[in-house]
Amino acid sequence: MKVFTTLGDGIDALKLIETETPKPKAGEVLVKMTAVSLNFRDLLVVKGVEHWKPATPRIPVSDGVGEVVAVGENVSRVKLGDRVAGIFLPLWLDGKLTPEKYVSPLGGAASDGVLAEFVIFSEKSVVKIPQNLSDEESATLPVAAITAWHAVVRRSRVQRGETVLIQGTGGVSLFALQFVNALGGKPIVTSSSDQKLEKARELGAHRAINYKTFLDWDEKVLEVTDGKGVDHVIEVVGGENLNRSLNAVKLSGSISFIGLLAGLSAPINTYQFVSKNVEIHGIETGSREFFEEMNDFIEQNRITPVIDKIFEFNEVRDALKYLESGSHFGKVVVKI
Amino acid sequence: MKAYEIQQFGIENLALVERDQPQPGATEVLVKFHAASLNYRDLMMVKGWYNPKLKMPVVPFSDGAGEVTAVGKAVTKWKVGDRVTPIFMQGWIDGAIDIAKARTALGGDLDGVLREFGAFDEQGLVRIPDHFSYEEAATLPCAAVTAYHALFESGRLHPSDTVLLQGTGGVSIFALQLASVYGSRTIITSSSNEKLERAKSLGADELINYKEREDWDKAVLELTEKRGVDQIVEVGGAGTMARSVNAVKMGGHIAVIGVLSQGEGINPVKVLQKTIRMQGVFVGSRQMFEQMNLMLCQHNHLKPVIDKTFEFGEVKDALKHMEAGAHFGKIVVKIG
Repeated sequence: MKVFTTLGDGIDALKLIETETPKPKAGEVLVKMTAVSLNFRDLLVVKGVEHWKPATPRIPVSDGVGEVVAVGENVSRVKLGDRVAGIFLPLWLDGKLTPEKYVSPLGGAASDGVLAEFVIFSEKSVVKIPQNLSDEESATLPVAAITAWHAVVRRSRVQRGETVLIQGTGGVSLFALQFVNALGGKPIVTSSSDQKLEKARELGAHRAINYKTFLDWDEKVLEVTDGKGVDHVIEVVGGENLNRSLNAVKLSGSISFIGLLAGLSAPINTYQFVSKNVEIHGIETGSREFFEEMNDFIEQNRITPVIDKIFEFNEVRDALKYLESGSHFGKVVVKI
Repeated sequence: MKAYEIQQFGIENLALVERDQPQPGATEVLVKFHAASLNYRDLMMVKGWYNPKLKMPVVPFSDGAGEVTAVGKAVTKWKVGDRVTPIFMQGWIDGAIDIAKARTALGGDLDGVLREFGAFDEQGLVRIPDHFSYEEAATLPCAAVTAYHALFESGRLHPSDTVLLQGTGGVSIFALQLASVYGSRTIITSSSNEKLERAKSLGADELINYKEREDWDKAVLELTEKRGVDQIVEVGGAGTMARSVNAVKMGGHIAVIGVLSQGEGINPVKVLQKTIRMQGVFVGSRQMFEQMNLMLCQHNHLKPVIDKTFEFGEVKDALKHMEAGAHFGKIVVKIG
């Protein structure tokens, strides 16, 4: 079978190699991959940023789906022909995250990912994909959609009529927008591009704020919420941005904290944080249980992930460069 | 009647004045105060640090206890002779806090308790547990309710949890006592071995002197098999938050109360990866106060720790005693 490997030495250095197709052992399934989607983290691994750099050749990319084409002994959760996606943290099946579950994320420095024609998974570490979605659409779910689900549903517990500030139009933000909409909430989306904001409106954004036009976008958020602030924030930027989110959120509101784009230190305005009784949730993807309940929700609400562009298997370098350019709106997918 | 007023900022400028005795309106009760207790907020308020735009004159101090001496004609909850304490935010009865409720704090937005009589809406009071003196009851409205809110409302404490308490201020001591009677394991930090020994006599299971162990976060990990604690009552503010993020376990909770110190902020990677939940906690509602009182009645050996009691004429000395920071437990002022 064909696989791509990386040593964390850059996009152009990705290697396409031929290797033996693995056979599933007891409790394992062999999945013939049909589509993968790209996340910002995949760029960090391929470019070898800090601890994301693999020490030995690794198959990159965490998100992918395919068809079960062989099963090992004692496999009962899935059967031949099932369309499945691998879960990002193979041991986080349910409950709270613990150090024991937080190991071997797919496509990281220390474990192989899914940019391959065939992948072996434990039968426990896959979920059946939603019936209303194509393989390409389903491939967008494992990291971005689960993260949004964890934030919107599990932590912030968004209710009908509540306002949710969603920052930017990246993968997590667009899924958050779609989930909030389906729950009857009112998404308020920020972006630096009027064109992207227009697309966000088409997806159901209740308000759209250009943060280049309104540098004090937090004040603008207060203005459009009658001075009260939003019920929840999906914070994907971090750094100083967190304090603007604290200003834009209402008393007793919540902030789901996902983003690292603005750096590795967040100077919290503790006065606003404390006096407003704000709740901040650190969000890290989610469990298989989250994935399964999200898939039910996606089916019931006929949600279709937003795909920006689909590349062929041999165009994976172009796909990564396209992601790097940041001009996309929606997920970047590679067919296999 | 006699009352203290902040007419201009500074401890020495506190003015003892003669005011008309208030008359209760139809839904109000008249409370004759017997005791007040000090919080750091009161000191900051008097010095002009808490709110430089404070409307003056205003009666300082939020925490007091007394007896009902008259009731308005529509009052149904109270009768003459009832022992009561006003709630910190007069408008926060239950549910989540909002802007309107937040603007009803005693000894700031509204006249406080450092006076012989005060008229309060009948909804803005709670009954004092029978086994508490007025001096003891006066310590509850801010510090104890904050500790209760942090541990039980926000933190959903479980008896099998381990809790980290920082320092030996009012909130930390109440949190220590409440967590101990609940059966949870408690770890407390202080810069003084003498204060740590006193904390031990109040139920602290583990003691850390943060002068001797500046890496107190590592000390906490050593005491918890490297996993970290389930909950932290964070009173240090921005300066200690980074170490708290290290010391809490994956999926753990940090109740943020302190706004005291400046700091460089938190490492968001850890907040995300550990899926930490952090909540700003600013006192609490009447409902929380009442639930806490039930708990205090069930564990009636639990008594507030009073450091020193001052006479009404010694209020300035009481404030200076707090400013000196050598106290262990609450500082109380007798009234009348």
